[in-house]
Amino acid sequence: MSIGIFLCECGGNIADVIDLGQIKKIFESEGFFVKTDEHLCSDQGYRLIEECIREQGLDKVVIAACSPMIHGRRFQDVLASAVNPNLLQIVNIREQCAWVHRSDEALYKAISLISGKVERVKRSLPRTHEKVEPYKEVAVIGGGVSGITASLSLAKHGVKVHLVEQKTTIGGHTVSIGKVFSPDKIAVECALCSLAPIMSEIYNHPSIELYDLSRLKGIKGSKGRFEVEIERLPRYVTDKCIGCGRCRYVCPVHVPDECNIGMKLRRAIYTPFPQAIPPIVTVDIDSCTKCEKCLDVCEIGAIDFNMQKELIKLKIGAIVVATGFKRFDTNRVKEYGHGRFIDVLDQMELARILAVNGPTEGRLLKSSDQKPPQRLVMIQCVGSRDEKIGNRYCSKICCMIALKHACFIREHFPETEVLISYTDMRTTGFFEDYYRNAQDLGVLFIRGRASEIVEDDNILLVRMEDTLTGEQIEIESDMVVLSGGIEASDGTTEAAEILGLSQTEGSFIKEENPKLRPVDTDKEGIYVCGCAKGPKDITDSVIEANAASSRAFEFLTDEIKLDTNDIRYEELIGEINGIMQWKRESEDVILVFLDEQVGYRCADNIGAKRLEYPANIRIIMVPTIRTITEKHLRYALHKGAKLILLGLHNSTEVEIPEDLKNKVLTYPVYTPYFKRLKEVFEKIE
Amino acid sequence: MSEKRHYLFKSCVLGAYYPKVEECLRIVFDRLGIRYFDDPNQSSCTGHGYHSGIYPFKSTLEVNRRNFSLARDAGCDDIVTSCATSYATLKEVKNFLGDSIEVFHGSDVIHKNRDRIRGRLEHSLEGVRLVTHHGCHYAKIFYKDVKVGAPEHPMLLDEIAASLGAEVLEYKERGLCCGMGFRHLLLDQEYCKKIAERKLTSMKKVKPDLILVHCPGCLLTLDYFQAILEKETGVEFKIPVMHYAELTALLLGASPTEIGAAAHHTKIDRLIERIKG
Amino acid sequence: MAIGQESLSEVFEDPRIEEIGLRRCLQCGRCTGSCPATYVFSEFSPRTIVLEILEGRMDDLLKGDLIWACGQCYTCHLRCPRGNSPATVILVLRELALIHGYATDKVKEIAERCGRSMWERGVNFYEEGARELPVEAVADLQEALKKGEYDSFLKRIGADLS
Repeated sequence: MSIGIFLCECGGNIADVIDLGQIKKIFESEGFFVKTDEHLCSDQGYRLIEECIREQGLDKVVIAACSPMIHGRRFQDVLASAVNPNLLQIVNIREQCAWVHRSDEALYKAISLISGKVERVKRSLPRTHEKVEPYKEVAVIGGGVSGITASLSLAKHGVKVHLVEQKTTIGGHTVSIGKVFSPDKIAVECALCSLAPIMSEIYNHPSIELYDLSRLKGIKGSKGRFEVEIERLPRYVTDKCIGCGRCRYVCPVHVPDECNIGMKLRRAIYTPFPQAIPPIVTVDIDSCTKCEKCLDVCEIGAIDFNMQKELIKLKIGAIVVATGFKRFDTNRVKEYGHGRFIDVLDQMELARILAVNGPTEGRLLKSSDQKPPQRLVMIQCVGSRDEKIGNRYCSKICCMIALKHACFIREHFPETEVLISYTDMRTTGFFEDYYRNAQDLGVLFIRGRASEIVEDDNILLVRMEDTLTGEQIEIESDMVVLSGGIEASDGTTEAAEILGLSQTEGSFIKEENPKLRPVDTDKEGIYVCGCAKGPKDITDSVIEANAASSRAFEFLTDEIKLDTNDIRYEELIGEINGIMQWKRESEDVILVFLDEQVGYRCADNIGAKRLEYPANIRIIMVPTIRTITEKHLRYALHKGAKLILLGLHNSTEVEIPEDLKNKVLTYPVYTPYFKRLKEVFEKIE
Repeated sequence: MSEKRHYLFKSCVLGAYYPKVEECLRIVFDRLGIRYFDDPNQSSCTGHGYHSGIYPFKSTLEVNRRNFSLARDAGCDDIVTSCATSYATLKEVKNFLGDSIEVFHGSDVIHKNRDRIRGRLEHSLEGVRLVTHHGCHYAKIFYKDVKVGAPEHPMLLDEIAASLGAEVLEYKERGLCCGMGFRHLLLDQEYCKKIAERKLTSMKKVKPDLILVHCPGCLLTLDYFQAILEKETGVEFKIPVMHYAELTALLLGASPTEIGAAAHHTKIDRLIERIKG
Repeated sequence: MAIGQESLSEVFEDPRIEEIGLRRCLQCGRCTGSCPATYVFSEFSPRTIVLEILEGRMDDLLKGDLIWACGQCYTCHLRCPRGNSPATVILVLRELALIHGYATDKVKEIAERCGRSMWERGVNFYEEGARELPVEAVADLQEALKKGEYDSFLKRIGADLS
């Protein structure tokens, strides 16, 4: 293998400080072909390199010049026909050498940096520029309002959509909440009325394939060409079913109905609600007694107890995760007595009571004696903003949910008093009008977070401090509603594990960049939207679903390159080796790893401002800090590095082994804060 | 825990006011063959004074550093306390000193062995209705370590009582402190009386035959103030209060004298007669 | 009203404060809501104590009676959604109050009583027939107490062991 080294004088910028002639001599004596030029970045310069490659039969090229951030791409592209882009490396001997060090020091550093890239390129392999032809099909995991929105949007873009839903019907939580708060009308709108039409659209759309009773089981392949495995549980009813309902009437089994949070009963063969999609009944096989009465009455013969679990493999180009949320189990806050006191409910149970298709057909009645409550107390922040429970975050929607229900109750059941015990009322934007309206309707707000609920003679006592008056009070109530928060659903944590996605505090899926790429995940081709990535209301979920659909479509129609900018393990080892080879006896070399996007640019800025720092700092560029492994750190120290510095930006976290903690340091880097970085370089001993 | 040797940490309140109750734990351990070590050199943990605010933190640390080394010198595997405040104080000190010694409460050991105890009972609490009160310093300070029930609703004593055959009643003020109040007990006792009254009133409503506690402070407060409250307010309570160790010892066959029934301010003789048949 | 942050340094230097979220108090009132001491002494409120510390009104707190109202039941410690602990903060304040010489006579009285019992017998309370430590153990304990600066603490608050 023959390697050519090209040294750029940069019109004196480099040559005036560094004696390039010496460098040429040293590397020629090692058997490398070396050429010097005044301006390698000129047309004449490119042609010179191309000629030398051809004439000398060079396999690999190292160019020592200005920062790779400036001309690196151009060198690789222009010379692509002569040398594979991955076999061409740029050494920064200007911004990070000639411009920041004294002459004698700069020379030695330049030699070691060039040696680093030489050793690296020795181990480089040609980059195969394979273009990926993605499958023009998307899997949407989760059929709630986010999944439905994303699916319809993608289908309208002309993409085939596979919608995977674990329940027997799509719709998610929106089907149970009864009414939604509307940002522009101080009145409540029917949730199902808005959702049912788009649910039907899903069922009837030719480009959307619905997999009900299905879960994501596994994934193979890579971006653009995933092989996704779905497990589909048997419904025991084929799509011959016309929804006549005869089977339901004869089924002898009665079990709690999930859509009504167990407050009503359903049969073992059932449809969750009239607008359920798919519009066919399901058999709950665990409750079924196999009496087969349903088989007798079904005239179409749609019931089939021989249906089996299916494993379905799909070829997918991109994935949208829309797995929604899980309601916080308010039973966990023992001092509020949910589960012990029958008249303590959570907001979802209240929603079912207020719903016209709920257990009380919309009448506000207590569970204990079926009479209307005189005074209803709502308690905010249950399971949220609570370090003891473990959910430190605010669940965002509970204040609005409480106001929605409070306003509704005051308007329709004026004999019932409503009190809200709050820590802060979080009604952002125009939702402030709701708060105002609630006050007009006579809802009483007491500022204080309820301490406990006890029962005395069948009256519930809410004990708290009214912090605005400073009094310890006991509020008598006959119905208490807990505003429980939102947690990551089991589907979310499953999807995160199977797809290998990062998770946030609370186990929600982490987006790639919360400001600029809020629906991307850290895996290309996989997007996330809705409550799978954090608490939010329906509006924001729909917005994110549309965004995710757009990003997925971009991904499928844009060019996808399989190769990455990653350095292979051996290449990085080589670069470390090459640099450390030239360590002088008394020299304390400090290796600094900086990432391409931020840290390296910051270091270049120091050079652009010509600020001096010690020359024993040797910088190595990596695509991201996560490229560096523990082995690389130990190798570098073993080769004689005195200290290692890792530049971390944004919220990058690294785990440094205990025994290396005093030799491997980290420092946060920001592109404009180059003066601070220079100070770090100076003080690092 | 049963193969280990426990360093038994004695309580100041029991030593001063209910000395026989301290011995009851040893009686129970002897019956179960649980090994223990009684160290005459073990000092108070300073817990009562510490929470009253009259021992600086540093003194509490040093005094208990000594107690830990005594436990280790005695070759014991862990420390088992008779008192909830000792439990919390020793745990707090252990965390600050980074000491690895384990600290348990005596009722934890009894709970773990409740099936074995049930097999050896000479009398049971069949037909006895009781209420439990868990020490605040047991359940609320190191709440993450509450394994039976939840910190807001501990079930340790409830399960022990159930295994002894009793019927356990719920009452409104289950989570309320007994009112001992540390420095309040030593000085003016207004706090103690008001809180104990609130607690006892709530218990009285469900008409229990017995109040079961596992902390000497709660034993003292709920036992001692009943007569005083009766005198000051005219309201009668007369509910026997017993510590889990003396109750277990009694049911395993110990006599009223052995458990020190006479030291109780609120008489427990009639209850004992009922139990012993 | 001046908010003086310097006076807070004493509180924040106590190692027990590192573990709790003192500055994170939301003033939500969960602590005071079921505090037994608030029930008995309505002027006392753990939430207000934390507020006064964070607003720098240390002098009033240390000189006053309110920090002595707490019964140390730790319900506030259990319930705080921010991981704060007014009960622990109150112990820190009690120690500071005594060190600064604001001991009321009553507190001095119990400090002497318990202090003497501990120093001479190694137990917190002493009644007729109560347990005492053997003489060598007491001497050993006194060494530990001296290491914990208990004797100088008692001298500072004007309590007398003799």
